Amino acid sequence: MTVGTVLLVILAIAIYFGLTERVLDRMRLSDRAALAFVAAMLLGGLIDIPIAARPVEVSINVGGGLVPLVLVGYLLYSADTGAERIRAIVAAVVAAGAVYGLAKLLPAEPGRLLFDPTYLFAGAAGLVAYLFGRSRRAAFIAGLLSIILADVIQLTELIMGGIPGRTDIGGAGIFDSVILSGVLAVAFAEILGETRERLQGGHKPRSASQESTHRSERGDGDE
Amino acid sequence: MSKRVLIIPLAWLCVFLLVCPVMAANEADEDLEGFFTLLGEDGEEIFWTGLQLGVGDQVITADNKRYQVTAVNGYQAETRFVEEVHLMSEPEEAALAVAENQAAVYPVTLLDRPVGVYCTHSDESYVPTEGGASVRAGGGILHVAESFARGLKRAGVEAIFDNTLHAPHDTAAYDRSRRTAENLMQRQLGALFDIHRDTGPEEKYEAEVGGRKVAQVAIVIGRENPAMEANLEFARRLKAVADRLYPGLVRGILIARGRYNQDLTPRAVLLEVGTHNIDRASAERGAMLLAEAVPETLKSISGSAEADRGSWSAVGWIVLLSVLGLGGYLLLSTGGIKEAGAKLRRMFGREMASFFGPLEWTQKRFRRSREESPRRPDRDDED
Repeated sequence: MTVGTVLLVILAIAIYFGLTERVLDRMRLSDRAALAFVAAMLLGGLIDIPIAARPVEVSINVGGGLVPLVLVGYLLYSADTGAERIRAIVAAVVAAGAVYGLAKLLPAEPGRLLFDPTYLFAGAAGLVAYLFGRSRRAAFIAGLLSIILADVIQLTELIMGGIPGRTDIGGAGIFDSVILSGVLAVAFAEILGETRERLQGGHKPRSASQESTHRSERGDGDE
Repeated sequence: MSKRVLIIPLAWLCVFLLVCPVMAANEADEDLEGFFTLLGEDGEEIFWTGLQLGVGDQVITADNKRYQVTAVNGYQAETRFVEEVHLMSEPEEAALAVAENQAAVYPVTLLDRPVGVYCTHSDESYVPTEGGASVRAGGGILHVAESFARGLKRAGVEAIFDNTLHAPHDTAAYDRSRRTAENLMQRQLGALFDIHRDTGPEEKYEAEVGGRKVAQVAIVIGRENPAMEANLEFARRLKAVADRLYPGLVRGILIARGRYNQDLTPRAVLLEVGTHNIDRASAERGAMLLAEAVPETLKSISGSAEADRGSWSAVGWIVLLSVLGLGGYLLLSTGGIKEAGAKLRRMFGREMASFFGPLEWTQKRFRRSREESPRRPDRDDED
């Protein structure tokens, strides 16, 4: 049993017992919908859809690429405000740039890095996605989308440079950094957000009008 | 809508777009000059590698002595002797010797499965043959991996060689090759091999086996894999069998920082076949000889208690860390132990009641917890 499988089972159990209910509520997802997405990612991880054969072989994995894209589409559609949608997309582009930049700047051998590349990219994408996305929903969208965008940048690099290769978007299914970065982005939003709130002395009550303005600016009810 | 909400991320985006081309120009290439020498307690040379070493890394040398790196000064690593390693227990060695003649002694389920072969650094090449250390369109390492797969087939093992290119040779190469490895894993593999070549002087990596010059092979195991012990057990057995078949072929097992996609299966290892300064034909011969050791290794590992223990201890650690993480999150989000306990009681009461039916104790607990801490109205509506 691999790490990814164990983590997915634990995540499914956490969802089933409602441990993630607050996070899911804020992403406009029911427990059942979340479990359905987890199952679709797990099963879809076995299916690759070819997109192009030349000049670079391109394919997308259903569980690691297509299902996250559908989820991103749904979350963008259900976002409260246009500002939140734009913020999520901008955060995704910035996080993709960060991932691509790290891949170029850091040494090629994992022995020279503090973390394994998969964790490093997912962690960097998740952190940048949270910092720019601000809300849990925007962070999750940006986390998922950033690794896919980084794949598109790498694909462009291969085509422009005439380098033969293959781009398999989300090809490792549930073990891919696409899903990991989405989950980490929400984890950062949840843990850092909660810690910041506690350090600030807890939630400060607002007047009804202030609350309404704040919620509409943030695009969700994170507080 | 606040302008600041958009301006700050857009400003950062502009910075990234400006910096990215500079980053691309400084693309991380393979360090061909950096070559680490591991020194024993008396200053004697015990191992060589082009991989970056750090304190805590370990090596099992060709003569089965285990050392741990205690300090790294430039390209020299000081070590301390840890223990003499017995690659396989005596009863297992004896059983394996019998199994050569009687295949039924060990369950051979793993031997019935195919073995996957791929190259993360598909550009790696052998300078004397290819004229350069890196060929982005496919380096000599692909030929060496193909020879390894051919050796497996000749030894009676079904081999699947995936020659996907993972160029460029950058930090993301392992992330890209993970997708290749995962695709291979869907074939229910008996084992998975990632074929590389090392960097260093030719004389440190060559041996004479059966009167012919061959490139020596180093087995690399990643320390960041939670199930590392299981992979190490597989590596030890592979070395044990190879030592018996072709002494001197395997120059050691390096346990280094990294994961190398080895978390995908407890029977995944990375092989460094020779160095960039050796001719490719020697490397191909070395790979083919090592392939002959794979069937016996798979026989010996089938049903092995040590390998199973390694895998299950990793699962145990992951579960423990996840429970601790979720517990910490629960404490953080609820504000205290009492509130977290109440929330847990409420969750288990509610879910178990719906799962097992209206049990009296779950209903009582559920009612009590609702009185203690009323649930949010939106969740009540869903039930």
